Amino acid sequence: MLRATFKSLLSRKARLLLSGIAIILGVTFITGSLVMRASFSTSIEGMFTTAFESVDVQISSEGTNAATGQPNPIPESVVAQVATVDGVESATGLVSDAANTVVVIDKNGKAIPAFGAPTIASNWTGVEDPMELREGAGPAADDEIAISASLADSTGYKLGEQFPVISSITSEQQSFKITGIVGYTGGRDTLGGEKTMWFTTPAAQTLVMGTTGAFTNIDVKAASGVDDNTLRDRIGAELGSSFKVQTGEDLAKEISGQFDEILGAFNNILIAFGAVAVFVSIFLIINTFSIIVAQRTRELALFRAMGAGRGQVINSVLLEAAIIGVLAGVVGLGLGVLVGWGGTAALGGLFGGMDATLSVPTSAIVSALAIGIVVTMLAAVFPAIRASRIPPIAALRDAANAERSVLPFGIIGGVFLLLGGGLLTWALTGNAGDNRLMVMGGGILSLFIGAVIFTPVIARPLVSVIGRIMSWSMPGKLGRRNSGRNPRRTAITATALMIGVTLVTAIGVLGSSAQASIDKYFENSVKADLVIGSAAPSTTIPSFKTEILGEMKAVPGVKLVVGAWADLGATINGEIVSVIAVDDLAGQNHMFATKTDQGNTDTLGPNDVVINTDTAKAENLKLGDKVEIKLTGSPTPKSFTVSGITESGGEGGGGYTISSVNAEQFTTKNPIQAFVELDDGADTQQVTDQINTLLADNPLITVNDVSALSDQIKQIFDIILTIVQVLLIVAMGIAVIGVVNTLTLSVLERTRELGLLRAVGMTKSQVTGMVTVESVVISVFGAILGLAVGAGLGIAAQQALKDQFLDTLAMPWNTMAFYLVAGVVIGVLAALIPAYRANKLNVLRAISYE
Amino acid sequence: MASTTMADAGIAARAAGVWKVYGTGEAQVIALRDVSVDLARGRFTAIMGPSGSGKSTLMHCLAGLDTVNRGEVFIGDLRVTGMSDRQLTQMRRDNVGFIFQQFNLLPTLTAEENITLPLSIAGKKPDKAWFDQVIDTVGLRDRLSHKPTELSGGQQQRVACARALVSRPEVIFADEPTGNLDSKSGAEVLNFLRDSVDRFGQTIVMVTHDANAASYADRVLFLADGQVVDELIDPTAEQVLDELKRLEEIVGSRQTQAEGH
Ligand SMILES: Nc1ncnc2c1ncn2[C@@H]1O[C@H](COP(=O)(O)OP(=O)(O)O)[C@@H](O)[C@H]1O
Ligand SMILES: [Mg+2]
Repeated sequence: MLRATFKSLLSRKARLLLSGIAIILGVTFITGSLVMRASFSTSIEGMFTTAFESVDVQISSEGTNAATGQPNPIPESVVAQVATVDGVESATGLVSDAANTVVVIDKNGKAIPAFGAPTIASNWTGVEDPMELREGAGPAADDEIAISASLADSTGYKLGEQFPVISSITSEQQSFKITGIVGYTGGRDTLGGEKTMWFTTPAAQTLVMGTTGAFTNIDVKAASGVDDNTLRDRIGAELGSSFKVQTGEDLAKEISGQFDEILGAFNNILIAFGAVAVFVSIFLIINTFSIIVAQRTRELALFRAMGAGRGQVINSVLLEAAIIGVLAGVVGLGLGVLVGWGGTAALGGLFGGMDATLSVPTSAIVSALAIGIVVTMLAAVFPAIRASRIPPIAALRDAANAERSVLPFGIIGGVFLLLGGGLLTWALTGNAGDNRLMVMGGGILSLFIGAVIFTPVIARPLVSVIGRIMSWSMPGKLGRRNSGRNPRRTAITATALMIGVTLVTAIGVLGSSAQASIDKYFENSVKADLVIGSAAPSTTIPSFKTEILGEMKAVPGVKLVVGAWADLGATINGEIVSVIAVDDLAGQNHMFATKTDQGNTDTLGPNDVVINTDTAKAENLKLGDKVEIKLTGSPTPKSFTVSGITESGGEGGGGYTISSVNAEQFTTKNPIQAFVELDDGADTQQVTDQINTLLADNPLITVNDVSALSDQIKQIFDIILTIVQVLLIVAMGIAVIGVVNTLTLSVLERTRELGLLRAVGMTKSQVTGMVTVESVVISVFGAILGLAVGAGLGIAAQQALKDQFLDTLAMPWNTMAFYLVAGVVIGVLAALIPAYRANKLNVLRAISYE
Repeated sequence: MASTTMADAGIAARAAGVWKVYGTGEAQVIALRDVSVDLARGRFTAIMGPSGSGKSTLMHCLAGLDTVNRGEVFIGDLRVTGMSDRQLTQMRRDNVGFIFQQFNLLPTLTAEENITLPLSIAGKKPDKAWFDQVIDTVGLRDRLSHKPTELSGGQQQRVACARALVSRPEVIFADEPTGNLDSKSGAEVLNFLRDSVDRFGQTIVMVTHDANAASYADRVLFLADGQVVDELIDPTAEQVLDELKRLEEIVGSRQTQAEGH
């Protein structure tokens, strides 16, 4: 039996390869993700270990300042105290800030927004490994600065130039002369993407902490022969619990651990796609083995006739599966290791040329083999059982494929579909209460499974309809009939494609709905075209002069300007509340499409306050009620009357809105924000430039184009969608192999028919046409099913998230049309190899086939 | 031209000095050695001979299914030898009909679609009157919409006959068309073939093992060792049997001689 299995395997090399490829891809995906994750962790840890190699022990403060959110400063005296600890060679005070306290002003005089990799301000303590001075020297005077090559690169500032910054502690712009440019060993401009500037210690202390005589960290060098861990523990004992004492190794672990988390999320996505690939592979393998069994019917029946038991037949098929599984697992693992390594190297490029270290975790090896073997064997079980049911008498009959019933698929699939439909209706009609999203998710999953199982039932009628379009000629007609010959096989083949298309379509529906919802949100609710305000979040909120509001109104093309003030220290009964002042309440409500609930929400008297329905409910306030608000600048609370209530839901308007005449008593007496609506057809760029000129003395205040903002958000969605689709195309690629596989085997099965057709005069191009039609019918069937199911699931998910933020449904018609066309193209491409084989067939041998 | 003379002489298919060799060296088999036959138009010719004597090979070479190593083959006035694959395909479609021993029909097509298959492949419509006549002759009128699996072996073979006939080819080649049938169905098919020669002037070449089947033919060619060794005109089954027995004795004695050396 074993010998026979091996022989039959070897005689089916092509089939082995094709069904193997599917599993290989799935295994590659999953092991690739695991290897990449492990390698990336190792590499990034290696990178930070290098970065912290020169650090023996580092001290930071444990707590943070409640008001500023900054770490508590470490007094200078602690440095001296640490220096006395036994085994310490030296202790150096460090200043380091990554919270964007010190904002860099670019060459256009505007603050650089705090997006992406951090900009770090620190004190110069000399060139230490892995730093390398590229040009000049470190700062010697308090008006000098050294910057990292990455910072010089991104801002364009050069050695010798003045480098302007604003500290949110001092709130004033200061310039420093660039005396040095710093790089890192290995020709890198940055360690991990960050940008760094170094000041003298006093300058850094003033900018970052607003005071001299304190540090954020202390760097400790161990005396030779003293172990880092021992020293850490000794210093920890000396300083007590208000300080965090770590070795360089601890630090490297801590920081690389943070990167690891981000990577973990990314990896889970990759693994999810791997799972989809494996899932699709299952269909392909079931299909392949079904066909192998169908072809081996006579051979297997002969075994049975010679006395082989059912178990032996099952074993023979499963053995074949196991061999394919092991091979595919090993090859997939090999490719996965390559992919993981390549991925790590590519990611390393984002971190300033990090060295990629390969690390293959045991989990990758185990899962590769487990997935390969288990998935293949599971998928082969049904065909194996079917094989064992072949009666010995079949050896004597022609191996005509008996039509098999699709009824069980109809019943099981139908049950899932009904269950899913029921759950969905339940959730959508709002009867499911708090579990709504879960019920919805369950419903969608059940519908998906149901649709997959139900496919064979609709295969025949649907395939017949699709095929009708293509059966204008005899070869077309034959192709169409062939595709309907074995609904189960057609369905399983098409299902592999359907799953991919379903997922991309469903995600496409969600993506386009998200974009449409964002569009609608910005169009309907935010009338403001420009928002003027702080560029970077910082501890003190930057403001601008009140007169500028009037000057902005005068700019041609500006229709409406609303100024906004905020009091950060306002309290009611001692509790901090959000108090905002505006100079034009009607204008503000118009810009944010805020609707009136009760009272007057158009104007504000000096003692009036407007709240929204949420605040009214939470604070139990009615129209006409008195509210005692203590503003920062006044010694006693002032009494305000609730003069109007707005509907919640619009932007802004939360908290307490009062007239701008009260701004005199605010923390900041100047407006912090302005909302500008433009005339129709006004040139946004021109107005922006003019307002920027008005704000020339306020580098921290920038003009933001709202439509640009919506574009940015939409772009992010676009990128996510593209990534998802590219990954799913891999799943579709596997499906294509499935179509090729099925057709190749069908061609083999129909050798005699092909011989007959060629004998009675069918040309090679007609044979190609016939095979192509069959292929296109199957793949278009899969694509149409996928589009329908995907659209259904996408719409269901959108309905489920309607109240979250996906309020607008938009169908991605273009992408859907693309997938339909792709279905045709896939069909044509998949037909190439089988058609070639069909034409290569020797007519004579085909008709004298025995 | 030679071809015109041939057509005038009423020759539907012709082999002239045909050699067919399979394999090389040790494994070389000479299936046909210098075979020359003229098959008259409107006649029913049977080809007989011991197993392995080259009957099928001769038929395949004549029908343009296989190429010859030496010599020439003609169908009507067409020179088959030297045709490209495309020309051969078209020639088979338009000038030749086939009836095989089994697997003659496409399972996805109905009887009617199977019958008109060569015409549909050529993109032609069948001549309605002729189609009706053929259907009535084979007696399949009430089976036209059936799939092959719903037909008996004899019915399937009659569908194959109708298919071969409906495009009115120059020659119909039949390779043991009754080999898989019981004697009653076999007789039906043979009667039908005989009929189509007599009534429609169809040319038929049939390879057979069966002396009784051969007795339906106008002429029987006997092959042995790849050569035409004898022929009978208007034979009876007994004559054919005697001839076969004689041939087998000759072949048998040759083999004994060969082994004796
Ligand atoms: N494709 C082939 N390859 C090699 N030898 C062949 C092939 N086809 C036929 N033969 C040989 O040619 C000879 C004639 O075969 P065939 O024409 O099929 O005989 P018949 O039909 O009279 O039984 C036989 O010896 C056979 O083995
Ligand atoms: Mg033969």
